[in-house]
Amino acid sequence: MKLKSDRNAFFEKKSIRKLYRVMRLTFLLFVIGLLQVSASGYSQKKSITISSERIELAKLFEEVEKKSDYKFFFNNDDVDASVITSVKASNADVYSVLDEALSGLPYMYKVLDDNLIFVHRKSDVNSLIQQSITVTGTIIDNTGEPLPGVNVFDKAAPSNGVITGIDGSYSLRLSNSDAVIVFSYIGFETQEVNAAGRTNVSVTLMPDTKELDDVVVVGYGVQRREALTSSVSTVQGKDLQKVSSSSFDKALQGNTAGVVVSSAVGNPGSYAEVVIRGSGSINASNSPLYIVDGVPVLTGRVGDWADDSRSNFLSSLNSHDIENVTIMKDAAATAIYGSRASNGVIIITTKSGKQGKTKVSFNVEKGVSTLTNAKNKNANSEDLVKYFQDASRNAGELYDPNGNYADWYDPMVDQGLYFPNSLADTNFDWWDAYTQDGTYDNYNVNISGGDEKTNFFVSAGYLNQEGTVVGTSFDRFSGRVNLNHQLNKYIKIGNNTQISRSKQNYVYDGWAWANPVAASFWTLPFYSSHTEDGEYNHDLGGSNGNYNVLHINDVSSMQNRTVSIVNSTYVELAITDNLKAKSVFGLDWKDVDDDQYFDPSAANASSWGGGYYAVNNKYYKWNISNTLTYNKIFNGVHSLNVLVGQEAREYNNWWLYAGASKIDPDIPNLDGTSDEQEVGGSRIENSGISYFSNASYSFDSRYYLGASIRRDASSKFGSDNKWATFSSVSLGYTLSNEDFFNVSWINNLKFRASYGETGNSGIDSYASKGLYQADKYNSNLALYPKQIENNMMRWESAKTTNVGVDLMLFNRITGTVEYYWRNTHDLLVDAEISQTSGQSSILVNSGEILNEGLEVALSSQNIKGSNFTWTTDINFTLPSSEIISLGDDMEEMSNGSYQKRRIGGNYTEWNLFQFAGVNPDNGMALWYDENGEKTENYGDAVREYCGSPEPTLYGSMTNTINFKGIELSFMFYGVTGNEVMFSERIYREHDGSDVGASSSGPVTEYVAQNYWTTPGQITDVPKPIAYNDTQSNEWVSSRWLEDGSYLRLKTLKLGYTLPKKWIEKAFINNANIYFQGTNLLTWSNVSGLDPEVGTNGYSYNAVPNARTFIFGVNLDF
Amino acid sequence: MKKILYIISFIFLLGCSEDFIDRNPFGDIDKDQALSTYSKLESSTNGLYVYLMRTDLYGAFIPISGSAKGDDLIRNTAAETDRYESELTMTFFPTSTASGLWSNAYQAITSANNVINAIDANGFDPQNEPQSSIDNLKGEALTIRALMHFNLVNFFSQHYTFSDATLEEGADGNGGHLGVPYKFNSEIEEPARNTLKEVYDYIITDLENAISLLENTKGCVYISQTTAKALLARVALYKEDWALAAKMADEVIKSNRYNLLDVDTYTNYWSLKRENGSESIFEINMDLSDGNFPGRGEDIGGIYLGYEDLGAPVGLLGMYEAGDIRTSVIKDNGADGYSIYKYPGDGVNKSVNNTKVIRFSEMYLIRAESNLRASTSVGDTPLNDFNLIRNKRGASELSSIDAEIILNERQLEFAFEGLRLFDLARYKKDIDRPEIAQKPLVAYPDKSFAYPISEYEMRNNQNMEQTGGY
Repeated sequence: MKLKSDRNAFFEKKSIRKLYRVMRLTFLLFVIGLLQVSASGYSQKKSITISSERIELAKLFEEVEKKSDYKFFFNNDDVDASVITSVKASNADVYSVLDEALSGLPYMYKVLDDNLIFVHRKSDVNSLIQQSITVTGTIIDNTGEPLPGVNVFDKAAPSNGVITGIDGSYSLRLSNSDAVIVFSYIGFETQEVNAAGRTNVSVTLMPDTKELDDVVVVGYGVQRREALTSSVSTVQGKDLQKVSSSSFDKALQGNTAGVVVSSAVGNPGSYAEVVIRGSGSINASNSPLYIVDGVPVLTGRVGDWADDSRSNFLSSLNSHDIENVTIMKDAAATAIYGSRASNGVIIITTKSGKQGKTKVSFNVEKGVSTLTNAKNKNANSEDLVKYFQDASRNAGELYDPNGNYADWYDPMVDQGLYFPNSLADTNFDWWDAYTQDGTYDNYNVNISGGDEKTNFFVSAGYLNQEGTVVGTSFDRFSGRVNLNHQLNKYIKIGNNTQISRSKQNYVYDGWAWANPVAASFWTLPFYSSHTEDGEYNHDLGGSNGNYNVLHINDVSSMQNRTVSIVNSTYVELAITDNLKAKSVFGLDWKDVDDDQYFDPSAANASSWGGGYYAVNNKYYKWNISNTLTYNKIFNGVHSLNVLVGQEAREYNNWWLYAGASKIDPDIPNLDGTSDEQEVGGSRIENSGISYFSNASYSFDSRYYLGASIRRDASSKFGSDNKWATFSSVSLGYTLSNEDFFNVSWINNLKFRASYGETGNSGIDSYASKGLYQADKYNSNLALYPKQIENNMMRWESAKTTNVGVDLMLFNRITGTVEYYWRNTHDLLVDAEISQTSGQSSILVNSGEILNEGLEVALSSQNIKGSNFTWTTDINFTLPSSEIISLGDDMEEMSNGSYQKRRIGGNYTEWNLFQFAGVNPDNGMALWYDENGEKTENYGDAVREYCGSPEPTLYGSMTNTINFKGIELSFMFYGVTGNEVMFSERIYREHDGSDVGASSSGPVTEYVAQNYWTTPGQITDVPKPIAYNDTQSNEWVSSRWLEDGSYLRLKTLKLGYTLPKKWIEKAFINNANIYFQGTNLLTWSNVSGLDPEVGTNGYSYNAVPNARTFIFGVNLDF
Repeated sequence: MKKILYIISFIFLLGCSEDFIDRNPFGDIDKDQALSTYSKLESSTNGLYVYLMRTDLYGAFIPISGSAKGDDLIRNTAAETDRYESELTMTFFPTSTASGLWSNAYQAITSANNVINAIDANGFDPQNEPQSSIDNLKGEALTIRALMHFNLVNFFSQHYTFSDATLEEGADGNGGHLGVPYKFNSEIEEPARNTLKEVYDYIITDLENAISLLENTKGCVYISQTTAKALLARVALYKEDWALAAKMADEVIKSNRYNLLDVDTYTNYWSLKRENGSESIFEINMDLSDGNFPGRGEDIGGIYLGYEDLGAPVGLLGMYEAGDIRTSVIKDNGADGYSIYKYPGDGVNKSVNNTKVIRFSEMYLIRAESNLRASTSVGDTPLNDFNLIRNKRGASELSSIDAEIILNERQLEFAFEGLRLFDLARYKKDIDRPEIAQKPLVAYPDKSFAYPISEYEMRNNQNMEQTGGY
């Protein structure tokens, strides 16, 4: 019972306050430290076998030390260790061994908490206990550095305590020389040592790696992990750094269950979609809310021309500054964020300084990146010429059945589709020309420290990444200052500020001829990139529009530049011991320039004289929140925590656009243009206010209850539905803390359940308004309706139920198993209306989608020795989704040209004409018609549902091995059950439709080696026919759909911490060198460049994700 | 301590007023605001013309469909696409045909209703503008509402004097069959189709109101009083209200605002951007830089000369006399067929000529036909009016005319401008195309004279009835 009230003491300040003249946080963590001791307080019962008729006492002690973890100590004046005794023990514990050995001798022993056995003379015991002594000592950390500010106190009388001085020394007077001294310090494992009469007790405190896990950052505060009743995962900053990427969100992949991270485009700085527990919205956002140090920040792609390659707002944040990331998944965790909570909330906490000596830390990472997968290359020239010749011959047979088709392929004829063998004399590798080895350079320095009142963390970083595709790069300068200051007993203030400037050079994406990836697929190998004179070759036989992208990249440029300021300032007021007020003001400012310069000589600009197009977007978000927190423990077992708060926020986006054509290349900016000048600009804003409260109550560390409520208003919604209320309740029960619970191998067993409603307000700022759009008629301003008002428009609302079990077994395995149901209703769908109303549809709240899934996360300490540890972390998710309603009478609706949504189906499903392979008799493509029969007539093909881009399983396994300063960790990430469309195959497997007299397109190596040639041949590549109009490579075909499963060695890190003695002389505290690889190996059957595609499952000539190898050095001073 | 508590409670209660969460757009404008002042109403009235520019209305569809469904157009041998294939073959399905015309016409109608109703409600700031300016805006909106409904019934209903009740229930020769819903507001409703007579009555009322409100102050790319009168003349002609048609045509002719082209000015007229005081009573200003300009190439000039999807039938060419200047806009492109140069572009771009909605010559032919049918001679005799047009075009004058001759002259005069289908319908003619083997292509009466209502509308409007025969 004592122990349990200690747990509750987390909230109780008064009783031990006088002890702590330092920081409240120190206290807080100290109590947590106590908890750990109680958790790990089970003793190791080693059985000892020792048998000897005559054995010296000293020899016996030595033997026991060898066979167990015990250490003996005694006073030589007191105990004569040369005494001979006898012992006969087989598989006995240490007590029986010593009882037997010491029987008849004038000695007694005492087993102390830290596996020390104190042997002493029988008669001395009483006097020893009575004596009051002064104990002194020095506390150092594992690097040998003295630790100031460590709490040292008598365990039996916690009010009797001191703090170590600047040199780590202390002096504590104990009333009892047998007292237990407790040493506790933030960030380190607490130790308890029995003074056992000694006057000098010096200890080495070990850093506590588990400690941060024990307090979790949640909405508007922190919570003990132990008391959580919601679904929350945390990822440590150091784990994020194992992925060499410009933005931390990409590193979330695989780190936690229930979170899908997909990078559709892999160029430096690019964006990753992060979806928590599945997509539940059709017309509103599916992106989580991101909060950095209490400030909601902008996410998504920068700028207005947001094609997939454009830079990611989150890449303006330096991931080396991140302490940890909390991912909040269920309504119990997120309901406090109300209308922005349905897609989950990701809270990023940046690093802060710690009291003590100022630390300087340098980190340098240098590396290279290559493409993850370069299989399925284009056919070489020789194969391609043959393919073209066959395509021509086949076309001749088809279109000129009388046999006069020699013109189509006869090498003696100059006209027609003549493809001479001599074309194959040149075999140029365009893939090679358009791809390159990327580089990765990342330099970081941070300085942190603090005293009793103030702490600081200051950092600077520079990241420079060159992409694996020509013309792509990203760099970022960032600086951060995080400051906290305790003004007096009542007031604490702080400020976190990051300023960064990032720059991304990007290239065309998707189907553009100027996209280097597409160009590498579409340019004939018969032509080289440069002529013999070393000039750019602009005659590519008409292939790829004769666009030589090397030249385009050389003369033209596309770049975006982002300046980002994220600032959070707070003041915290301790009104009473139990009541605390806090105000946080946060702002997020982003200034994005996106410039495109088209040189008049570039193939994609020569027809219109080139030009310059510039967009400037400024984003300004501010947020102010005021909270009051009340903590109190009643009668030692009832713990109550209540928060009430209020918040206001505003979002502004200003943009300006200017562009013009016909540019003088010597004046490569707007001033150099002279034709078709256009300007534009506008502004968008939205705002919201909220009132919220949450309360948590726990009884005796066994029963937990939590509830939250939020009332939210947003300018985005209809005038009749501006306000809405969201709430949640949650329950927890720790069975293992019951007195009757008596299963020794189950260390923790907790059940959780939560239910709540959250909202999704991720829609356009003016979606509910009746809008007129501005245009002109006869050079006069003209206004006409753009959108019908919907005053009833309201939030999409999600009802989320979450049940979970938290476990700890054998003191080695921790785990969480959860099941969730998220039912999103009032889904915003475009409802069709009679067009006599002047519009075709209106966005109304009427659909319903269910996302559910099982999440399992396990962590096992396979080996935990002092020199060797091995940990395995596994997490996986089995997600599913079902559309319950699409609104009035709607059975299905299309989602683009290739996918549909239907009632009872997944969130989205492929709906394609069914490819039935190749007719072995004549090589023609076959389709399934409405009767399920095979037909060669594409017109008879029918569309069918054929799988979903959503995986049915995804997860990861991470192994971390530490051995004498060497750390090896590696993570495998895998996805299965998803269907992915590699639509680039449409042109790469054109079956001859791209074979023509003036220009032809290459095919893949696979096609050139597997196309149908002889009757009876079984293959999946139809015979090529020039001018092919069989539509065998039709877009909307299941032929391009592939099993998207893959397994990837996502990260591998091999590090070595240099032994202290090597580096001491250089005044280095810690030196660590490491090799790190990202996306090292991929197993997949897809024929595309990268199995990792966007959540829509659709790949189209995107820059694939890079494989990055880096070498890094960490130095701490 | 108490002081601190007060401060805290103040911060909490400070709260934010509802104003804080009321945010108006900057790029677009709130509907109420768009109708709140005179100048905004003027802009919102300008916005009505923007609709007319669109490909689905006067940008291309109205003139082309009205010609292609008749016998003005054939598939050109040089055609790059199969646009307007169903119009040429007269086969229509409710899946998609003409749904753009339907939806865009109602967009223009409901937007016009917003202007009309805002003026009627009188809740806007007149900004010291005289009543006549406000009346003018309302007159423009009323005219566009009438014009759009008129186009809708022209394309989605059988003509006014249709009497085959087996094809169209209620057809009694006097507009007793299905028209289209006449919309007086912009509400989301599921309106049933009014009878054609009701629609015509509303159109006539709207146009008469407009005539009483409008002045003749704006140029030919806007609606003025004579525009409303000219349109009313055409409406009355289709309704076979000869007296009203003759009266309106006569008033336009006597307005002295327009002049007939002659053999020297005719060809150039078509390539001009706009010329007030010439033959254009109303044309749509087509400006490439306008955001709503039809997809380049999809507009009427693009279809006729860019894609060259449609060309003139040889038979039509043969009907012109030698020397008739109207043949100057039809050019022999050899193997590619006969191309139409009524919208010839500016030499570089094919998509810059204003679409002519109604021309002055039509007034003479309407007055002639109405006087002939009603045996009256409002303004002048039918023969004089008829010969005036012939004369101006360089064709020989006739000594006597009848209705059939006027019908033929109308085809020669308005070829490719979208009037032919409705002339054939009210003359109850079969549709024949010399180039198509099937004779006749469509025998009158037939469902294909009217378009089916789209599946989309049928699905979302429980009260909508399908056009007879579909």
